[in-house]
Amino acid sequence: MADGPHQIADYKSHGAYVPLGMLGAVGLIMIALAALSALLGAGAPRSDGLTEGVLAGNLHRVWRVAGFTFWQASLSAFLSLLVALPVAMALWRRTSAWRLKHLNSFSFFTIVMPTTVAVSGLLGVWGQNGAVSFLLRAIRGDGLSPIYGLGAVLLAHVFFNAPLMLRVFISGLSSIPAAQWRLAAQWGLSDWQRFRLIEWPALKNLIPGLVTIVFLLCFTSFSLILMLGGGPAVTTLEVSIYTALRFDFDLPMAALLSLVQLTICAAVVAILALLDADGLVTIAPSPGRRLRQPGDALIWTALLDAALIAGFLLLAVAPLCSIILEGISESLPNVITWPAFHRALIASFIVAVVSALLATTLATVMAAARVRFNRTGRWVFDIAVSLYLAVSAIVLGTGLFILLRGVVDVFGIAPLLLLLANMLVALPFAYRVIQGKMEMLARSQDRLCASLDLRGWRRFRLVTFPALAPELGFAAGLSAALSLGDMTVIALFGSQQFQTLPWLLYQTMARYRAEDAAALALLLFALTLLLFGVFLKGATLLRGRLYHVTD
Amino acid sequence: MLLIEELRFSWGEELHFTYDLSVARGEILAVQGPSGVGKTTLLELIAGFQAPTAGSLGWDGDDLCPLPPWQRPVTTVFQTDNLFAHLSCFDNVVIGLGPEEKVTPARLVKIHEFFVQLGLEGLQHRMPSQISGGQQQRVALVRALIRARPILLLDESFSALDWEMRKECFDTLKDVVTSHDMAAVLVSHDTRDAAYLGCRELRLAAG
Repeated sequence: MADGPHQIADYKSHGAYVPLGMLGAVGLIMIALAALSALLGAGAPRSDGLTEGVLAGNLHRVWRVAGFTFWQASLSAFLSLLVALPVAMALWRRTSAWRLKHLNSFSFFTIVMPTTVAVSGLLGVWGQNGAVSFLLRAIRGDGLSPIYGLGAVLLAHVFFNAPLMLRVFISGLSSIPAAQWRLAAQWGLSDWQRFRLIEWPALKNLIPGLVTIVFLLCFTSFSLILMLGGGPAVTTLEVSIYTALRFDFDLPMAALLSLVQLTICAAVVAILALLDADGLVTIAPSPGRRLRQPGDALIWTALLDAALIAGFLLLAVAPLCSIILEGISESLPNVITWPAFHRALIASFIVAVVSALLATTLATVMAAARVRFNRTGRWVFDIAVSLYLAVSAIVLGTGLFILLRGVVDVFGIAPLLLLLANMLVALPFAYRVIQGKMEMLARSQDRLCASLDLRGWRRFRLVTFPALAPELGFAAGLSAALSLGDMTVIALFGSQQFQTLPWLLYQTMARYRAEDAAALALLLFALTLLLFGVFLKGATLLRGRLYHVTD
Repeated sequence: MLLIEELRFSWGEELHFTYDLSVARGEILAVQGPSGVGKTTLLELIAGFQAPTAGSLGWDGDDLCPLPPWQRPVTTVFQTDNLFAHLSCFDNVVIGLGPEEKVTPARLVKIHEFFVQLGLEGLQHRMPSQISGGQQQRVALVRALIRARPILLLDESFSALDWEMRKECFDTLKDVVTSHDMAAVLVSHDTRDAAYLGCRELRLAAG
């Protein structure tokens, strides 16, 4: 036994995770670089002057579209915050842990809802012939004016993002130690003092990351703008890219717009990384206990809370009710028999399931590999995944279109491109959900597993999968829901031969077949919830089958 | 015999540890000393979670240093995080058996006996979240005893138990170490532990 540094096998680096995770990270970076280089190739100034011409003639238009995109995203994020923060506090004050848990589960409906379905629901409530117009006509004789335009876009963005923010705020409030509520009650703190000393410190750190991520989601919003924008005055970079590519076939313009979009999104993602917003994607906050406080009994506080909660329910629940009530119509049995519906259903289902499984598997492998690296190594994995927050589906689609159009028939391989794009777009969310738990498991179980000789498949089957099952189910369900609701890539590559349910719904709405569209919206929403639920519960059921230690 | 000679380890530039000790089969060694003198580090070196910079670490003449943790004849009861939250107490014990080791009727009887001896009777099918921290540590001890590896490492494993319960654990520990010819290293900050066990003490000091 000679002196000198000993070499022992690193107990963390065994298994196939590391090579597979590295392969995944390299693959992700390569795809993004390939798309980027295609965009740069098509969008950069060329000797024939084509792109310079595009740039010179359209610079004003690009700036205007970029400016509007930035403006609507900022306004959407701010309004979502303005709605979510007071409602979260009102809910926290007024509801029991049980009801809070169910309200949180309910908020999933809006998070996983396809945007095309949401538009149908929002029009059912706020549209010219919607429920609110119906009430107003009964009261004052005239209803609401058409909801299209910036107002409609903001309403839709708040509908989607306020529940997301609400969940995170309630999670933040749940993390306040019970002792602080006891002290507040004992000292008789006023509402303002309680907010300043207890609630605000728990919430303020969440706000920058949350606002940034909602800004990014609204900045890259596509189908809502396409369906509710109402014209060229309300158009974003995403929609302009789509128009340039699909209608004008102006590749340099599409590439240029994509590069502008990519640059701004990359800057936002960099800010997000600095803000360390990892904790924002949670499965479900576990509501803590809040003691009743002296101010809770005041009548004006109770009335204000009731008004806030009722307003939020009107915003979030009314469109859901509209989707259900309007969807159950005479058109429903008719729509179910459409051959186009069958084709779209099968395509959507296959793409959603496969892309969800791929995204979850890749996210798991990369998260598992990540914990076996030091800080720099981990950063590479995070960057490889976060790239796809910056490279939105439409930018990726445009890049792939330009890259592949000379090589293959891009419309012929549309299903594959859709699958790839949906997987990549879902990946950052799936990764965030899994990575935090994986980190925690590695910290608490690596040594124990090494000492018990639990390695490889045996460790995954008996220990990792059962512990990670809720996160895996959630990540797969979320990925499937995102894929089912996606209308971005299919808008680029869809055709009569290949279309998905959101695209079919959009086309039906565009033909003003409102009843058929409502029935389709209900079917798409039901399928989304079904797939989300199956993945969520399926992982937990599978866990029970896998971990019988004594088998 | 567990034999450690001039085993060196450094945490950065500041902390340097050197260990010289031996533990015979059937013996328990109580390692004591203030915080930061390297008690847990010693166990990590023996278990293979840290690599020494120099020196030797052997078991019955075999060099343990090149071996990864799962190939060492060692089992450890950690200070915390000994149980898997999704497994029942029984499954947490059985999972300690190697992939090739079967749950034989004789092993089942042995597991039951340990559960009874350590005051855990009736808790076999409870989940870790349904028992106390002290009970969790005792379940981990049952697993370590069932694994019956020749070297047993205990890192402040019973600090959370009250003295009466700790004595019962020590009684079981002494029986198993003697009957299985094991070498046990117990890190503890309570001087009563070594006195009750009647074992040799190793007091580590800074520097």
